[in-house]
Amino acid sequence: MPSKTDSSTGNENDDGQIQLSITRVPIDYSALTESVRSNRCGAVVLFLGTVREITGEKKTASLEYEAYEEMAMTELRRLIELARQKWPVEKVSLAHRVGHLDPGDIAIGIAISTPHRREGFEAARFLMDRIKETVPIWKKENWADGTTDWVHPEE
Amino acid sequence: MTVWIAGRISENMTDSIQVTVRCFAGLKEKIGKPEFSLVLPSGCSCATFKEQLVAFYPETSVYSSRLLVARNGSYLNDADLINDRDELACFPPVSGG
Repeated sequence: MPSKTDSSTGNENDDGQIQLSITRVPIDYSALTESVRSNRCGAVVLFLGTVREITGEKKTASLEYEAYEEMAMTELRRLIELARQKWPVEKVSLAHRVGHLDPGDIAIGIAISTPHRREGFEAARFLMDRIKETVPIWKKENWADGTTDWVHPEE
Repeated sequence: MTVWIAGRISENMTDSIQVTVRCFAGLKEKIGKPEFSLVLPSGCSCATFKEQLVAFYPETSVYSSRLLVARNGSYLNDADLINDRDELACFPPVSGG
């Protein structure tokens, strides 16, 4: 098992190919990237989702992330399994922050290794798109003007 | 005949089921607590569950049909049936990442 901090939900599957965590501490994207490197792979794709300060006319002071952690982990595993059915994904390491995040902070990091670059980009994009649709995690905008809004995608 | 009023039953309790609901994010804020029980008509669908929830907590009507429902970590469809003593999770559309 990977090392755990007491404020994160961590998980590694049986063959050591998948590492997932929902964490309150900053995401170590170097470690995330390093953990998926493999001699069987010619490509490592890393995606970081970071807190954007300006959205249109509005300025973000901070974000609050909340997760339904047990289901989020289940759903992440399901999506990674779907990705592995579509592309030859070797390893996946994924971390999502919860709690208070400031502009520039990393909210999510996904590292994927694949034999070739094309499937790496495609699998990373697929995972990120699906995560935003079905993994039970939410963010609340704390706007610079003092108002707050839960963020929900438009229908 | 049983008359259903906003998650409460007026008569004939044998036709009712009770579920526990965990709620999250904006829904939890609207309801003011992370978990609650709801009495429902037996044989009710997930769609009816959502209607009853919004009827019982009208302040959640801003989410209404967009609410998502899960049982044992899997999403339910509107037509799925709710069982007595189900432990459900209910929440607004997700916005992680």
